[in-house]
This record gives sequence, structure tokens and C-alpha cells, in this order.
Amino acid sequence: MTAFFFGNSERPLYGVYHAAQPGPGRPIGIVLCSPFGAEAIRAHGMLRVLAERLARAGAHVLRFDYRGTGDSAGDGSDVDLDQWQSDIASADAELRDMSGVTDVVWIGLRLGASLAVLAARKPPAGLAGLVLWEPVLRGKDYLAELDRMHHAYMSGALDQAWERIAARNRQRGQGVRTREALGFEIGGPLEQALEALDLMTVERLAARRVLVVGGKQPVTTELMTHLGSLGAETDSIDTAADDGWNSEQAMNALVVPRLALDAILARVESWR
Amino acid sequence: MKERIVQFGEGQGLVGILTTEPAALRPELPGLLLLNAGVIHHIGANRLNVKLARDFARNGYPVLRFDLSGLGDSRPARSSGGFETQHVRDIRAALDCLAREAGCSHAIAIGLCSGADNIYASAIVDDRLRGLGLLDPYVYPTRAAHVRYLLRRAREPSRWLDFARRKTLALLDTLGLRRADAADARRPPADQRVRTHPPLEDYAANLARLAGIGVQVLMVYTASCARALNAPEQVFATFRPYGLERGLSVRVMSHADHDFTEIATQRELIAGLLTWAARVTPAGTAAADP
Repeated sequence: MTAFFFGNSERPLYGVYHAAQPGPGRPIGIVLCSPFGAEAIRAHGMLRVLAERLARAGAHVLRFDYRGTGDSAGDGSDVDLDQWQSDIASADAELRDMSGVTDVVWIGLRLGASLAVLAARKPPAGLAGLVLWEPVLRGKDYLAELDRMHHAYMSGALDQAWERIAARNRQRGQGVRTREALGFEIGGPLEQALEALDLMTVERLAARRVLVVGGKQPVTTELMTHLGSLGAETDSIDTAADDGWNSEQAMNALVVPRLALDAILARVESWR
Repeated sequence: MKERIVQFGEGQGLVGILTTEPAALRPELPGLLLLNAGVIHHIGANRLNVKLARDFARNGYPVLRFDLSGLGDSRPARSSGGFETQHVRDIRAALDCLAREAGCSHAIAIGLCSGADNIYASAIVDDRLRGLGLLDPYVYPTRAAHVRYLLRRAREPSRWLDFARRKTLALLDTLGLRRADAADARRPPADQRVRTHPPLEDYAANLARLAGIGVQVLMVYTASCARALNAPEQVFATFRPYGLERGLSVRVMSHADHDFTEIATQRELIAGLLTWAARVTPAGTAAADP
């Protein structure tokens, strides 16, 4: 496991590379596309476990932080979905450069899965497959969900009705200019991009194979039908019984959804 | 802003980010160490450690945020001795790293929840820590605090409405009539988990001893401990009998949750920490030998 900065030296991205352990089979590369905000923090530990398991199985893995997130340069005010798609492409190029692999799979979780789909409209050559783990289908619904979660969390944490907290914040001049959700700023450009995000309107997908992993967010027929219509060989798995990673509990202890990890490992192995 | 990855500790297994602003760097200032909160990796709850690191670096401090053994991007420790012993060992290695990479002979440390606990455990055995920024540290409840809490709540009419609303929502949760994600988000916050508190006598005596050799202590309490601690004077009253008053600063942020989730409370916290650090570490003070 090697942590490093890569990309534009003025605004570098933080990455962690897990080199493949020697074994039979052709080496493959994996780029892990993180979720956003609180979900990224909740997922950090399990994505490390996934990366380590994939590396033990013979894959070169790169997990990284998008610009303005995690340890990468920037903050939430100056990012948008176009930037993050470019970041996935940069991570892909970096992984190929470091490991020498020619076939790469992108595994995206929540908003990271949606970004992987958007970036896969014009991917680098050799995108062997996509794993879309509880993808965010529509940005408007996602923003509404984040609002709901934020209000419920703050209400529970401060032991007050959200309306009272909101009124207090208005008095203090909070939340007037910048949208926020569960500890993270959603700057204007990002908010606008999320408002416009709709995976059902994607018209091109260059990945040959797609696995959709459902959990708390179930796999929808609508998504599978749409991905199929774009020419991808699609499949899905439901791991709703093992979805504890995306909970407050995951802030206090490492929660690893074994069903999902086992399914992803098996599928990636079959794509080699 | 210059950020670079450092690896240190046993087998170079600990991973951290050293942040400096070369144009602002003031060699007379101590370094700043930022600790994990629970199992959250080194960016901190709500990326607070990244924001702290960059803001402190802009004010001249070299800053190291890192993962304890087995957390985030650091490898698990090979040596035995239990988590608490290992954490103290890791923090010692981080202080060595700050000295080696940034020339800091002394440091201040900031940590939330278990991060505060680890700072305390390290400070009593490592005299290089000269300022302790403890966010939601150990709480020693008093009956007066609980009475004060109940009285404050009873005086607010909207509380009675909140109470009725919460009971209704709890009933809906029980009956399964509410969205699962909304119910999940209302689980008790992180700080409600059990923390093993040292006996007050030991805690206070150790902090008093540290204050006696010039170590500055800041305790920040949030709404998460409002039932048990809700006024700065309560903290002073608790520690005064042990000789701890000078060198102790206390702030109660009853409008903030344990993780400082709202952006405005993050900014308020960071500004407060910068002010405290500037006050307790004026050129050379915290960096000087006791």
C-alpha cells in the first residue's frame, strides 16, 4: 500500500496504490471511485478492505480522492461533476502508468458509480468493465435525500426539531449562501451539476460489461433496461441484507459488507 | 500550500500528510498534530482535520495529520501491548516525525473524542506536547449540571412540542411506518458510545501537573454532553480543587453537534482554535523548554 499525490502538481490528487500480489492470470487494474461527503467517510475503511482483497487476488488497485475532497487539493466550493470525471480519467492513467496494466475496471460507489458512468461515455481504451454499487440515478433525488438525512441527523444530534435549528441558523446567517449536507459543502457548480444529473439520459457507454450492486438503494429495472439499451452486457446482484456500511454505525466501527465484496471480487475475477 | 506524504513509525507503517505554507512558515511556532476521531481516517470528521491543517499552515504552523496503527491508510501494528499503549507509541512517532521533517521540538495537538483521550494519554508521558486542544474530552457529570439542563429545557415551550414530535416519530419507527434512512440517521451520535474514563482524581492531577510545567489545555464541549456538562464554570469547579485552573481554557458550544457537522460551526471551531493557539503559543512560548 503506497500513498502518493498525482496529477496536476499545483492541485494534486491523493491516491493509495495497492500493488497486485503475484499469481496466475493476466493482471488487471481497478480504480475505486469513492462516494461523496459523509458516505465517503463511512466507506473509507471498507474500500481499503476491498482494495486489499482485490490486490491479494492479483489486481493492481488505486483508490483516490476527487479534487476538493479527502486529502486532495481544493475544497467543496470549486468542484463539479465534470472535474470529478476528469479525476477518474487521471486516476485511470496513473494506475496504467504505475502498474503497466492494459485492462482496467472502474468500481464506483453511490455518487462515485454515477461519475464512473458519466466518465465511461468517453473512457480511455481498455475499460474492461464497470461495477456500479448503489449508483445515484438522479441528482435531484440525491440532493433531497441528503437534505433529509442532514435534517434528521442534526435534529437527533442537537435534540431539537429541524425547524428550530434552521431558524437559529437563519438568525446566525448560516446556510444562506452555501448548501451543505452532513458536514460537507455543496458549492454552486456542484449543486447545479447534481440538479442536472440523470443516468437515464446517458446516451453512450463504452464499457463492455456492467455489474450493478444493490443494497440500501435497490437495483431498478429502469436502470438495468437503460444500461442494456446502451449495448453493455449487464448483470446485477442484491446485497440489501448486508448494507450496514452506510449508517452512523460505520462512523464508530469498521463495517464491511461481505456479500457485496465477495460478489464484486468474484465478478472482477471472471472479467480477467 | 505544500502537502507531502510522510511515512514513519514501526516499519514506516504510519501514514500522514505534512502541511506547510512556506511563505507563512514561522520557525518559532510549535508543530500541530491532528489525531483520528474514533475510526474516522486522518481527514477527520467532516474533513475537519484537512481544514484545520490548511488554516493552521496559513498561520505559520507545520501540521501533521496521520492515521494511528490499523486506521485509515496506516498499517496495523506488529507489536503487542494493547490499543492504548500503541496509540501513545504512534503519537510519539508522529512527534519524532514533526521534529525530523519540520524541525519542531515541541507541538500542540488537537483531537476529537478518542483523539482527545489519546492526546491526554500521550501528554502525561511525552513532554514535547505543550498545548492540548481537547474536543469533547472526558466528561465528569455533576448533579447541578443535570438540574441546569432540565431547567433550561423546561423553560423553552418549543421543547414540549419537540418532545411530543419525537415520541410520535419513535412510535412510527417502532411500527415501521417511517422511511428507513430517516430513522437510521437519528441513531445516537458517535460520542454516545462507551468511553472508559480515567478516575477524575487521576485525570485532574495529571492535567494539573502538566499545567504546572506550562502545558496549555483547551477543552471544547458540544451539545453531545449537554446533559452532563453545560457551563464553562462547571469545568473550572470540577478541576479547581486539584489545582488546575491556570493554563486551562474552556469553551461550551451547545449549538454544535459532536462532529461539528454544520459548516458554520466548523469555521467557528477553527477560528477559536487558531485564537487559542496564538494566545498560548506566542512566538517561542510553547516551543520553549519548561
